[in-house]
Amino acid sequence: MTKLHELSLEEARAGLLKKDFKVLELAESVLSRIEEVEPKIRACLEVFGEETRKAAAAMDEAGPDPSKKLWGVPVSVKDVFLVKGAPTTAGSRILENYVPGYEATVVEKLREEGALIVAKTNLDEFAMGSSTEFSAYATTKNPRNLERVPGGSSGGAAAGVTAGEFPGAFGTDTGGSIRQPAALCGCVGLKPTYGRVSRYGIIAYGSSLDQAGPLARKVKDTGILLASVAGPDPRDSTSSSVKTDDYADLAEPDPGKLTFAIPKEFWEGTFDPNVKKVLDRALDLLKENGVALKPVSMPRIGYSVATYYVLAASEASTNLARYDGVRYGHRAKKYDDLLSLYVNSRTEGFGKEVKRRILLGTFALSSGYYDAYFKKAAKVRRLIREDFEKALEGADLILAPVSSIPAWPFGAFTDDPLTQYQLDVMTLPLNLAGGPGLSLPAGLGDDGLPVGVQLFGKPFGEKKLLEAGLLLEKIFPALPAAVV
Amino acid sequence: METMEPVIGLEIHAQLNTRTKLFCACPTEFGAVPNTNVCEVCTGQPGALPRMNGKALELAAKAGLALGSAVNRESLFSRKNYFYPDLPNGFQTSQLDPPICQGGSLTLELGDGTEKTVRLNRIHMEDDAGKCLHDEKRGLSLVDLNRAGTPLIEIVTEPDLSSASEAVNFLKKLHALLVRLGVTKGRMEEGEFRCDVNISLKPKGSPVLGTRAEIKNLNSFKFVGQAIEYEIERQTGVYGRGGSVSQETLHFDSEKGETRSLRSKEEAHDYRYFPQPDLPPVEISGELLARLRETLPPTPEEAKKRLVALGLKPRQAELLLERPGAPEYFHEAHKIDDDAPRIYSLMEELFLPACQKEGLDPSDSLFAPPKLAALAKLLRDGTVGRRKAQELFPDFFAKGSDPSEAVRSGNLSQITDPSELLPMVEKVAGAFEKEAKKFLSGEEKILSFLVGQVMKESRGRACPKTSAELMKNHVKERFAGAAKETV
Repeated sequence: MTKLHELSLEEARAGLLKKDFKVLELAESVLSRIEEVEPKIRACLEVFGEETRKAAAAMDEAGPDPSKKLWGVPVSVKDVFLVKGAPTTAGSRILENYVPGYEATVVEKLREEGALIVAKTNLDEFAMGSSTEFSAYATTKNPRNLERVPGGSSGGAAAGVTAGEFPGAFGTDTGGSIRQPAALCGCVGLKPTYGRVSRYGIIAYGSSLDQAGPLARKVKDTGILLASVAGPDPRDSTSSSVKTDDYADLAEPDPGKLTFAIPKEFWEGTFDPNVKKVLDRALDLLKENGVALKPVSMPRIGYSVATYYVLAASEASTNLARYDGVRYGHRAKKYDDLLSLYVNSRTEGFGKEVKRRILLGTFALSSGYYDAYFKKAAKVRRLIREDFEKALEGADLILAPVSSIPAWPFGAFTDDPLTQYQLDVMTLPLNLAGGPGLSLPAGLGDDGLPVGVQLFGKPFGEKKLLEAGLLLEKIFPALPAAVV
Repeated sequence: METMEPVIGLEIHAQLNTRTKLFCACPTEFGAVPNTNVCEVCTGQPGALPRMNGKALELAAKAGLALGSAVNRESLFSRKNYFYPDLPNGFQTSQLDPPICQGGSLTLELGDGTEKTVRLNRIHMEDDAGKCLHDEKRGLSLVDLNRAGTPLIEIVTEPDLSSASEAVNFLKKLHALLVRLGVTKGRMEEGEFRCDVNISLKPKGSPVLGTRAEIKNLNSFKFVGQAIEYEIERQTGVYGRGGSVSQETLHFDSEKGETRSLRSKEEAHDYRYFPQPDLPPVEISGELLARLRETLPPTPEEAKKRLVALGLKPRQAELLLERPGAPEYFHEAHKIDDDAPRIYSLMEELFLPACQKEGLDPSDSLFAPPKLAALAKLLRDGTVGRRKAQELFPDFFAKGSDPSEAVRSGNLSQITDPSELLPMVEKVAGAFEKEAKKFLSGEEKILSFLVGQVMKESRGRACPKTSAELMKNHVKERFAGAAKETV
């Protein structure tokens, strides 16, 4: 018999509303699964056991509420979402004892829809990284292979969802931080259009690139999660008032009427042979099912890595200026004056990748370098956005790989930042362009590691993206549940 | 040595007159318990995001319109990055390019009767920092963030001023204008209007500017004048000794009356300005601009002309214009009763002193303009006497009562009807026969005593003038014969 924690989010919700099982039973199943696998996976920085049980019991008492999209469903949030009264660290020592006095809009909305916030998940410090190895607190393992990284920065979210610790999770994606760990762990991850989901109460990394989004084991589940949180927020001036669609009500499209743009800049690179094999097979499967694949070129994609790292680091350098040891967070024990208070607190509080990006961004914004770096990067960003617009002119969606290599062994790139930055080349461009992207498994490689593909849509075209995702999920070989 | 002349430019920070802060809903009130008017936005908590205060935008645009600036339909906020304990985000949110307003000017009347136009470079919006407090006794530095996020405009002039008195006159005129517009409350002691002075010397007539020094954060007209005088003398001395002035930021010590260096050019901050990604470009619609233009009060010259045309003396118009809110009140009252001199004198003698006593803005008084207009009417048609008006006014003012209503219901009107007054006159004449006869025998002063008795009899409602006439006639008729007999 299927255990409750193995149910998809949609199945769990349906079962709760039909009273097949209680909210507390589902919560207990999820909590015991967390207890069982956490020693191996370390996906969570904080688990809300008591709060979850209490809330679950109260919901059972009150009875099902079908008007709520996530009634009784346990979900996790990455540790950059502020949960009132619960420590929120962004994976950094500098926020070690920080307890927020307010709640992120996404968390508020999740609660309004009846979700139970069951855990806060691990991440690279301030979401800067692609392996979750830069967390100051824990090393998260890939549930498909405990010797491998889960990807990042939302590595805890992807690993937890894949290991069956919770049916749904929220992460953030600034340069691929939802889509890449989803691909490396073998689950589904959606980066919505910039502005589709409020950023209020989410610890900022690159403000013009950050976007919150869901991870789950099924495409449909990410749609339900998006539907629960999408929409304008008066507290986030960059959130969009473009009308939301019903992302939970999806219809699988006719493959014969679908055209995917296949940009050579994404597909003609060097791939790990196991990855290559899965990707080739995926393209064949699409063709066999009647999806038209249209070769296109997106000539400016090659500049994405440089553009991204200038812009994201510039924004990060000033977003992280508030962590100064004055009002909250880590303050050095030893200091002689104001300057050494700042220097010592920040030196002790930030990890090396964060320091690297603060330095990079500070340099790029400095007088005399601003035009050459920040301003130029902002211009190139517009050109990259144009590439997306052009590629989508004659196609419904763009199809691209997510990573050229599968989940890598721990420590493989931690001392080689440039190589690691280059690994993000397939995911960064979308954040620069601003549109939505869906990452989902294309199959397992011969090495047993998952390989993902991603679909890019037009801005605010999440529904179309998710509907195509349903089709791909059916066409591609389903991944077995992770054995942990 | 050649004669040197000073070149002065000003940067004025004015706190916008809004109830809430620039990017959050916290109140801007002054003097609250430290760190009580704060929230996650203005204390720079992780994840908090700014949202623009629309009222601040309107006030900034209004200042620009009144100063003849071009108001940009789309302007942009930038982050100005530096570290200081009173700056919660590690950056100030300011405007670099484009600011809300560009250009503009303000014309000064100089002492010799000529005029000088001072050009403005720009006006931009920004948020204020908090405040550091130093507890020397306990060796502590404390931060109060109540002020953090308070909306400001910075008005930057071109270096068009050439003396301390010009600079002070400019500031006074600008201050009066902005206060009159309601852009700022302008309370300088609370830091709502403060000024940085850029000052350099150059050989007279030379187009080349000398190296400038910047004096920071002057919060009184007096200090601006003193600081400029001191700095001109200091720089003149430096050049006189063959030295050169270095580019630096100065602090003015108002107790010692001298400037002191805060930091040199080498120590100047690199603010690393870049567009604030959390705020979309600030847009202001054509409709809003048109509406703001309509609400713009006339210039002082126009306002004076308008008042004189309504029948005030030039000096009266000036006096009215000196008081914030008074001209508006006058015009409102005048719309209802066009007896301008009477409305003016009521305001001057009764209403404005009462406002001042209560520390009230005329527009906030319960005694609204229509009520003053009603009182003017009652005085003109003699229903209420001058003295009566004075006596009743404090009560009207405090309660905001309508005088015509009070007259109707409270039987407060003056008695002018002779048929009503005569019985009282007769009674008084009878009771004070001796005094009445003295009057007849030529002691005219005693009439006022007799009228006073009538007033008493009528409980203050008798019209003194009519009573006096009636008394004269009645005494003559009643005692004329008897008086002759006595004589």
